[in-house]
Amino acid sequence: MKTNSLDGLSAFGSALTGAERLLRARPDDAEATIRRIARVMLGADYVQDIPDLHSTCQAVLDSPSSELSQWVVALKSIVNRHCSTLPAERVVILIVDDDPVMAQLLSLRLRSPTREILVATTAAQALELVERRLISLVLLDLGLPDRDGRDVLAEIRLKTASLAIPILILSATEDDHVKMECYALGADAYFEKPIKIELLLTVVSVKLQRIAEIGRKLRHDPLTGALNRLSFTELFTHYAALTARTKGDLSLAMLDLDHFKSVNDTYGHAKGDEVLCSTSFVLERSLRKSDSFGRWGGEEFVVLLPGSDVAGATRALQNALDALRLVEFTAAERKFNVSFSAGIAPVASGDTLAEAAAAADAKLYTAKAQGRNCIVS
Amino acid sequence: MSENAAKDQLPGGEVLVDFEWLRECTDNDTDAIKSLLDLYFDRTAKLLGELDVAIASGRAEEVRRLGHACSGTSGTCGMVKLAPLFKELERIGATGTVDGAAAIATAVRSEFSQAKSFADGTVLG
Repeated sequence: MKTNSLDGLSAFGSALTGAERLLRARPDDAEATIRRIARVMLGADYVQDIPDLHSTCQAVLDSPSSELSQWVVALKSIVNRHCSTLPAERVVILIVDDDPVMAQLLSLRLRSPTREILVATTAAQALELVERRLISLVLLDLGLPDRDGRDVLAEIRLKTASLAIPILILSATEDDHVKMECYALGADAYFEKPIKIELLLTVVSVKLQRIAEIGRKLRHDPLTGALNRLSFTELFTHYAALTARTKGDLSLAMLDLDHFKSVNDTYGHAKGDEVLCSTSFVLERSLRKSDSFGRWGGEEFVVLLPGSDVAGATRALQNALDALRLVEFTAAERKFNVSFSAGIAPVASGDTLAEAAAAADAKLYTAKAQGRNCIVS
Repeated sequence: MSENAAKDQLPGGEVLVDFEWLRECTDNDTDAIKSLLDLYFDRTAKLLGELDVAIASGRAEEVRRLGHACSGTSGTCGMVKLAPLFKELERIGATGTVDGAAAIATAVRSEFSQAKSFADGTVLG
């Protein structure tokens, strides 16, 4: 099951609700819509993994018009049930609106176990939250008490780390010039108040699904699944700023697989790729959920450990090294094991990634000089 | 006409609060409707006080801002008669004067009172 299927399914559920309401007033339109949704759902790869959903979609397609409404009810029920049980990545939605009625309504309808809802009532609060939290989507009112919402939109888009966040404008302003300006500034959609809530919910789900899909492709190294350097840099920037503010600990580790060149030379590049993938898998399993790692290049990995001093980071890396040593590889009827050397450095307030990486790299050099297969801090 | 639709109207067929809209917005959650309307009437009553002061002191920009704020939230809460009145106040304020705003504000107070009584008699009662 793909982890981004929940929002896709949720969007289908919202669209079905809208179509169901239309069944009495405009039955032909509604019927065409419902069958179209069922057909598209049948083509979604994650639906293949859910037998009752698959069979009910098929029943919707096969049913005569007179039985369609009962099949839609059944399909909606199955969709809702799976929406509450599917695994999904946690997302953070920021509502920026000084109207408590609107904020309450949106919070009520957007909430789900996989969504954290934040509310900012001023531009200053909104920008502070965007800086401090990893926001997945923003709902932005234009009429804020301290600044025009368009200023907030422009400022969010100027930050590299938030370039891709979907921003949906909610405003009572009908002026096309305002709408055009918002789109030019980087808005993804514009909803006039009073908001048609089901439409908004569908757009939110679709945007979250798309951003998750695109994000996964853009942010990860295609071979190992580790973060690529660009996304690791964004993550480092975020945690370095947060740690500087909270005066907490942050450590950075550089890892290099020992004798990797000889693995490639002896067993071939396909086996070398397998070793890289296994290392990534071991890091994923061994590190804490709050730690992150990326592929720095070649056989080098970089690990960021928020909330860990050097001693804590050393323990975490030692766990990973112990686990990797146990992995047995087989090639040409020979078995072999691999290890890594690592250098760890604390991230000081104001350090750039290049500075922190250079400090950790110096320690890594020492680890290599000390005979490899060890961690130096 | 559905049972709900009949209850949502005054005897003459007049609609003050679009409960059908509110039911759609809240996915038919009566507690959520109550909570939203409570919040709406409390907040709007406060803003009406600010509106009176702004009109009396001739502060057109403040009248525009309050009209805009109340128009949006009134629409969200299905206040079909109040939303256009607040929109008119926003328009007047945007012209840079408060001419005619006092009369609209009087009409707002009357509609606000009727809408609250109607809501009190239905979901809030």
